[in-house]
Amino acid sequence: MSPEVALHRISPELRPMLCSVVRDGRVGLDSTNCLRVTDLKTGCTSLTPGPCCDRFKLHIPYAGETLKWDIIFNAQYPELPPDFIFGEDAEFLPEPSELPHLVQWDAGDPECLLQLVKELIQQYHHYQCQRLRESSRLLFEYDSLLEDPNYGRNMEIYAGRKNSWTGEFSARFLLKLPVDFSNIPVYLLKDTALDPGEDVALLSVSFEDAEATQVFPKLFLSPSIEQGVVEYDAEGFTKLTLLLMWKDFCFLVHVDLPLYFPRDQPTLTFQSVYHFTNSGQLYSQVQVSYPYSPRWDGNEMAKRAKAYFKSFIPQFQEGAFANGKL
Amino acid sequence: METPEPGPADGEERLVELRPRTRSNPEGAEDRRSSTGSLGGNSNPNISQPAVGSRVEGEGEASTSDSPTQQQPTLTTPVPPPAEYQLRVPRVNCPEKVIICLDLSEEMSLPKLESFNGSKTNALNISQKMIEMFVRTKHKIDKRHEFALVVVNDDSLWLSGFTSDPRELCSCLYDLETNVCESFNLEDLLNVIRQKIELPSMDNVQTIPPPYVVRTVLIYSRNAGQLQFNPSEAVSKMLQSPYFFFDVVYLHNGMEEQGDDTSWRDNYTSFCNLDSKGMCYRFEVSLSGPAIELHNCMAKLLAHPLQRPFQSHASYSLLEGEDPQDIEATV
Repeated sequence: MSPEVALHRISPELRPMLCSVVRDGRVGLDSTNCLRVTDLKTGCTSLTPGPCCDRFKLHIPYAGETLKWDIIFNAQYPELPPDFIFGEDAEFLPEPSELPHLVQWDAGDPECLLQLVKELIQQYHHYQCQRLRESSRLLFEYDSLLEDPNYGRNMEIYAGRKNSWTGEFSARFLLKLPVDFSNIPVYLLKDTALDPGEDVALLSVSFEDAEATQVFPKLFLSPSIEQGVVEYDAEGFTKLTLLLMWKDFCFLVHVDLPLYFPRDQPTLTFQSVYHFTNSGQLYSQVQVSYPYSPRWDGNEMAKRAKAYFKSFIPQFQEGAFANGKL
Repeated sequence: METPEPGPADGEERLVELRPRTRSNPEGAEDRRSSTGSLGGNSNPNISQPAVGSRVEGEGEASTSDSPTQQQPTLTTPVPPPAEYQLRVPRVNCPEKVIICLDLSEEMSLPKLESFNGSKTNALNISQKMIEMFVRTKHKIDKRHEFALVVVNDDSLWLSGFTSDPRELCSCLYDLETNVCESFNLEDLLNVIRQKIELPSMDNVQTIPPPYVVRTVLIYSRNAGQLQFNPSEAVSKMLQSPYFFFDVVYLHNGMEEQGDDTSWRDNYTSFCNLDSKGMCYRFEVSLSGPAIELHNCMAKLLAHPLQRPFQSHASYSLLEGEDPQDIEATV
């Protein structure tokens, strides 16, 4: 349902609030992550002249999932706050006192519903974090992240159902840089995961069970690698530059992640810090077919990358001194 | 991953080992451990909790969290910020405006540096090449970065910039000559810079990334005389902005001066003291050492100021030997 259709059909008294939600309701920097509205219905009798829809489903991207919450107003009493049904999360029962925009619901404020939704998402996040306590391992991960003021407040956690066969608990953490304008954790590209540890370039860490079919690799996980990071794309995480040293020589490695990473392997461009080409460009060499498998997990990728660098750098250095201009 | 029950020292220690020293925790969990042994990275417990309800807006919390961000009044010797709380700008790779300040005093043309093939070369020569490497590499990483060139004699002169085209800057780079300089006027240099830049306004420094940051990279080689610096309020304010960085490469003659002359170490310390936020990078390199050291400093300065670790934590030795910290703890 397009926003325009929804706005056309909603009861006029509720329109300003719905407008705010569909037009400005972003939970991410990516504009495609606007909140979506479907299943617009009315609780009025069929004799009521339209437009009089007063309830709908709100789709909220969160931690790699889409929450579908029912929001139910009453067209006869538009000044009242709505009821919520939180999809299948029957156990999610937010404390009303923690929802300021519910406690002080102001039907005259077009932003009120959107703010309330944001507060609910925060409560939902809190609820998900509580569920992590069922797994001591994941809890450790979570607690470690929480301690950091930059990231503790900017996580999305989805704690999935326990796998009834293995008893394993699966969860997904989405972390972002604190670049959020609306105070809601940002949902970034869920298929790109560049994670040097619990840290800034982490996008998505999926703790799956043994039968996981999806790999969420954590490239360059080791702390020693991330200390050598020169610069990286902090929004799409599609590129990263590392400074490495080998026997007192510095090297740069530019890593470019293709669109369908990890299916497609990253492009590595090695660059000398000392040499230019004869035409005055930076002396560099591109490698696209080094040992790689999309089935490696993040740690494996990091290990293999390191091994590859170690094997390749000496010949790169030789080539630079032989063919490059100092 | 089995973690033992956190006992007093042992359990905590184990947790500390497993928790990588990450960029989010640059000082390492162990450094920031409070006396209770907790790993709390922040002395203010309110900040480390996820935002819940109205506490985010509370007046009390706001005033607590704001206190470390208060600007220091003008000081000539700034106090380093407390280790347990650092005001961090989001680690976003926003565009940089890099102002390269090149000292043109005669020390720069003394042929004392040892080049790769063993012959002697001078610091100006190497600086030109490394500056070219720097701007070209930054441009390759992100075409939004901009560059400017300032040359420093007795006074400072803004030669070129801002431009995002590395060739434009490089075209000014190779026609330079050194000369005898009487003194170094740091205040003048910073004023020249201050007049050419506008720093982004500081709203929500910790959550909203700036549209750009300004970074000065000073390549400096004078050894005679003590650094005199009594900054005006405007200059101090610039130095203290979270969006302004002042990196220095100090080329020194390596000798401790005799008599009443200042040793290079004192000057180097003075530069270090300008960095009240602990966010800047400083290098000291000997003018008669291997040229590769100078190149390597410039390479390390490639790092984006918002994304680089504290200088003391930076490490590039990934490929050297076995990593004791190759921990797979976060999976």
